[in-house]
Amino acid sequence: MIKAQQKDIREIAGMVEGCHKVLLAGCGGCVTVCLAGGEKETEIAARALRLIRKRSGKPLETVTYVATRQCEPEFLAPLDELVKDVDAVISLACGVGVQCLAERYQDKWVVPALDTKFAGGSKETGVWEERCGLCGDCILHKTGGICPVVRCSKSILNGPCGGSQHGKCELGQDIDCAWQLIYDRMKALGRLSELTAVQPPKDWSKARDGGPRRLIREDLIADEISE
Amino acid sequence: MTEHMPPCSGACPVNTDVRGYLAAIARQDYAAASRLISASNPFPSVCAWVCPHPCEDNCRRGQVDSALSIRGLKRFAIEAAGVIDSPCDAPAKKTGKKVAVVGAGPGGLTAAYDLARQGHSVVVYEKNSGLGGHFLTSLPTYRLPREMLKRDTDRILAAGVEARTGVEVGKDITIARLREEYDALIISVGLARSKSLPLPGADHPGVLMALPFLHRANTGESQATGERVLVIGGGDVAMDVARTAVRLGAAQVNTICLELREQMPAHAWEIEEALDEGVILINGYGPVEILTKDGKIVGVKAQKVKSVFDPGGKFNPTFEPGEFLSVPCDTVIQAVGQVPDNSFLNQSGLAVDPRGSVQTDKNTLTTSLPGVFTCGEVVTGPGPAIAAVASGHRAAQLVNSFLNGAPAAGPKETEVIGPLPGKVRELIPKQKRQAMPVLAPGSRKNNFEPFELGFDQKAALCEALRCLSCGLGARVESEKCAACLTCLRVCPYQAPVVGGPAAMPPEGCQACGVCAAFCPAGAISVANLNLSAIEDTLRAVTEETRLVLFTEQAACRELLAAAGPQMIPALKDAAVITLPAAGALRLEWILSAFENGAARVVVAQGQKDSRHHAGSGKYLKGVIARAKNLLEAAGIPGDRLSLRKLDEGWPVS
Amino acid sequence: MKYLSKLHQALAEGHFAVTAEIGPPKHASAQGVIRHAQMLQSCVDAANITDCQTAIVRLSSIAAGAHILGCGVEPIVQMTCRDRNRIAIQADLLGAYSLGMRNLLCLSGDHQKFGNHPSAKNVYDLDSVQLISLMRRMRDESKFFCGEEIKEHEPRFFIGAVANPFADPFEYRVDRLEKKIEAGAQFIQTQCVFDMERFERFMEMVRARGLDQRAHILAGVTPLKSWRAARYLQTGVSGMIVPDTLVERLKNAADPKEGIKVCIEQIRHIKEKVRGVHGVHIMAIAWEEAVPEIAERAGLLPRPGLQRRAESID
Ligand SMILES: Cc1cc2nc3c(=O)[nH]c(=O)nc-3n(C[C@H](O)[C@H](O)[C@H](O)COP(=O)(O)OP(=O)(O)OC[C@H]3O[C@@H](n4cnc5c(N)ncnc54)[C@H](O)[C@@H]3O)c2cc1C
Ligand code: SF4
Ligand code: SF4
Ligand code: SF4
Repeated sequence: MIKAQQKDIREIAGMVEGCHKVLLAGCGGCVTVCLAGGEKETEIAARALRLIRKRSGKPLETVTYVATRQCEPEFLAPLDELVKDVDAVISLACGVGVQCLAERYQDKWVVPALDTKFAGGSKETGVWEERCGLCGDCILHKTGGICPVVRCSKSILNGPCGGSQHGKCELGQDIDCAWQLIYDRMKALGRLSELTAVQPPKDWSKARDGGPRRLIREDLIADEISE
Repeated sequence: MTEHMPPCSGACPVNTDVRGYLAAIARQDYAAASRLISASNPFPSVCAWVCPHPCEDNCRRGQVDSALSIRGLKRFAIEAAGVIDSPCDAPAKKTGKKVAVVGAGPGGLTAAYDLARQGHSVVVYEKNSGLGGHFLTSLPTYRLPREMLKRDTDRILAAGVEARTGVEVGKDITIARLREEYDALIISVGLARSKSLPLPGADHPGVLMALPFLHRANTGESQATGERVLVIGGGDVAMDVARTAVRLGAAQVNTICLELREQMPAHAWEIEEALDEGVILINGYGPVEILTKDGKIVGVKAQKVKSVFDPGGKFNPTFEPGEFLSVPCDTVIQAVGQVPDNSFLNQSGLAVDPRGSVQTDKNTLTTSLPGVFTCGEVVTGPGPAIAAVASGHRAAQLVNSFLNGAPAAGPKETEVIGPLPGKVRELIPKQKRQAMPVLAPGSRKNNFEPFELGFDQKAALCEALRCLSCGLGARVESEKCAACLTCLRVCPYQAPVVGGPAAMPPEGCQACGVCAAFCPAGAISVANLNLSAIEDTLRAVTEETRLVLFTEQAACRELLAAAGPQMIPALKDAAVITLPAAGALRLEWILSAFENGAARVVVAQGQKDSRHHAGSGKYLKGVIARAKNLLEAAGIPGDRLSLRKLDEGWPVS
Repeated sequence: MKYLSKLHQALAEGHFAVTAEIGPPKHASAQGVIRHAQMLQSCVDAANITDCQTAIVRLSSIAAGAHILGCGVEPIVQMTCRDRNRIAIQADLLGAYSLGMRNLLCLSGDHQKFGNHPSAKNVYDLDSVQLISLMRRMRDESKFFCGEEIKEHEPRFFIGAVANPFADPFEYRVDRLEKKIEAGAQFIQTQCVFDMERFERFMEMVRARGLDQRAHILAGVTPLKSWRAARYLQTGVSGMIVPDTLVERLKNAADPKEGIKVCIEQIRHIKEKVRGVHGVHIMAIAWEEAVPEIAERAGLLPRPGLQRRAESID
């Protein structure tokens, strides 16, 4: 899932400096799961902002609402009423949610409260780690189920580089060398020989293209004419 | 939804909210504790002294170390609260219906009390000159000071119950007559007569019966008790008799019973206390003859028991042929059970069962005559008084619906919480049960002074805090749950089950409240955590509030203060919020406290996290650090928020 | 036979080659580079010009190459994958070739985290193996990386790669070397050798697979200025192994030039004892002046017939 992190509260406060009343919109999806933007965090952000503003002599009024998922327009409908009399909307969703709100409320100042970090999973309580580079052209079958695109700090497809030592990346002890992991796993699976082929350059056009990437499912595109 | 009942309440015949009153004691709200105790029991004071506490036998704490001292705490609460009049005690609006109750024991009086509070006119007929049944006549005063009984009966009378004492039904007035005068009748005559073994020599005047013996002892009536007393019987009544004989000055008191020590029907502690007082047990022998010489009792001949119960577990003693023992004695007291005194049946027209007692349907408590009901031990047989109380409640309910012509409500849907899962058992920190202080055997043997002294406040608080708050745990609003697994990860007991939406099985959940503090979706509520009270306290915080103190339950205010003035200086004017565990603290609350103007916030934690929930405080440091960062963003110095750990070993010392 | 470069020729003719390293400055003057080049001119076959080494911004490798070419030293242009995508790499290498550069060393490059622009966005559009393979194809099949034909004047680099016998997983290091040779690497420069025992084990595996026959392996050597420098490499740089005995030797030595002595011993050992090594690459980190002395005392001078070979270069 998407992993995000709340911005420093001072930065958020700065974004809504001139406002008197704001709506803090949380999201019940990924950012709830990574403890960044669910009901609890929305409440914390609201209270912290009020506290900051009260202390600076310019009290702020807050309204909070947690949408089931901010990336779905249907789930935003209940916000329509709430946004009416606020000066700004603070979204505690990932970048998708922020944009969905901005799109829906054309005349509202919509600001992000989170930094959207990566697609990853939980390592342990309170620790999440990136796992997928969303490159649009998965190669995990070639690399033992370990993604060198994000887990190798140089995204090397024919690794490891010369900085790998004792299983760690040259960047530091807290980063596992992805290629050591790949090597170990392929070895354990008896598939080391598959690593000898030179992996060709990646087709990055599938990862970033002109404008947003788009998915279309033909079986869900209604055929208006034959109806 | 079925209510999850803790096993203590489940085992209690009147389902007393044990957990509730223990929690009230822990927060030093003794009036509330007392009210909860009385809510389902019109004999709170008596029970606080003499109830054999089936709750304790079932307490889940017993699976960790030892059961809560529930009765001891009840006594503490009742005494600490003093007499409280709860508004519901005032007689209700009269219904115009009249009910007669025969017998003023706990069963009859409970029924009378309930019916009076429902607005019926209730008259209790009692052959004794006072109220209370066995409480008045039979229970030794060293176990039950009679002012305790009076406290309870006064309250019952205050509810509008009329008592006519010294009236024996069947003799002074008949059942038939009562039926004419009243709309309904409840017979609760109890088991008023001692059973007698048909032994050769048993008709000797020196062979006494338990109940009259106890009654005389209680009223201080003199009775000839010899030097060497032999009590026949192995139950609680036998122990009372033996211990009473000791107090009356017998040089030697033996008890003899068929059962081996561990088979004896008497409660273990009763036996223990009797032994402490010098009573000698002769186990595994059945008396076969009372030996007399020159018209005087000289002993009892007894035969060795082979087995007490048959393979099916039924009472069916067999004896070793030819193996006899004779116990010298000059007085024999039979304490082998109680049976009803059926003289009330005289001209009643009531059908009689094969035992000669009134015929009763145990479920509906009805007899062969419409409008005539029964309750108490006459129906249930011998047992703890609280069972007679429960039976009295039921009778009142049935009579009330009989009078109103409406069907009685069925019992509530409840499910008793099962045993603690093994791994949870290991994770709960052990805490020693507080021992009830008693008079030493030497100083209690020769008098009828109450021998249990009761807990002092410190012991009571420590003991009350041992309660695991069974069933007051976490519940998940499944529509909100994001199945993020946080609850499972932070729970000190790994209690939550997160397949789809999380669920916290009440067996494993220890109600610490930690998960609810971390659930990002706000999906968890914990019954043990009074959220609205917390929010109220926070709302009441103003610029004048010098300190907001979040303290874990184990660190209750009194004990905190005892921890030393330097620990929390401004404690006196503090707004105090008690949490089951310090780890249940929420960052939001800290922010609110400061938002509303609090000068300082202190979070108090026992030395090893919480004493109650090991490992529940492991995230506190991080939470505090994060809170400080937010406070500093608002220009509030971080040192206005602090985490205090209390001394090792505290609060027990 | 036509040679791609003088270095190519020296190696192909079986000479024990000598290369050294020149690090361009953190400013816009070529004076230092030129001075170094003049110093090295008579004692090396070619000199590597690093490409923003350790991700610190420096005068460009190709520009510096042009300067040293003027001093009569043949440059080995280093090209990392860190800073340029496949378009920029090709453009720069076409330019380099047009300026007369003939040797190319392809590397991944140090991560920017340790440089002076840690907040830069890295590129890694290609990795070093891919770069080698694409440059070989560009030369041998006249194709851009995308496959489009180069109509005329395709660049014809003598292509090199690096190998690090001291990084992990050790067993896989030879596999990866083979992968690079397979991709088109013609010469290999190794990481600085301090742990001779491990290097020899590495070479044994290299020889066992015949890789020394398919590419020219130049062992990297480094004169250590002090025991502190040795300790730093030992503990502070990933992918290096510096034996404690070496640190101790430097620590206890009276001679401030003990490092040079060690380096010379290493070169002699490699040259005489380690089969399959075709030259040395002297990386005199911040001690370029030591190179002539090392080359001299290690018996690597004079460098053979420079003039004659130059003519045969295409
Ligand atoms: C020695 C002894 C010790 C005990 N100790 C404990 C203890 O420690 N803890 C505990 O929980 N329980 C104890 N019990 C049991 C407890 O006392 C009984 O369970 C309880 O009293 C039963 O209540 P009841 O109302 O059914 O009957 P009772 O208490 O027997 O009350 C029946 C009442 O009916 C009256 N009555 C009978 N016939 C007539 C009539 N014809 N007309 C008018 N009135 C009549 C009797 O005088 C009596 O007052 C003890 C019992 C005994 C005998
Ligand atoms: S621990 Fe408390 S709630 Fe649980 S059974 Fe014992 S007394 Fe009742
Ligand atoms: S912490 Fe809350 S949202 Fe997460 S699984 Fe538990 S109940 Fe569900
Ligand atoms: S964290 Fe505490 S309240 Fe929540 S499930 Fe675990 S024991 Fe129960």
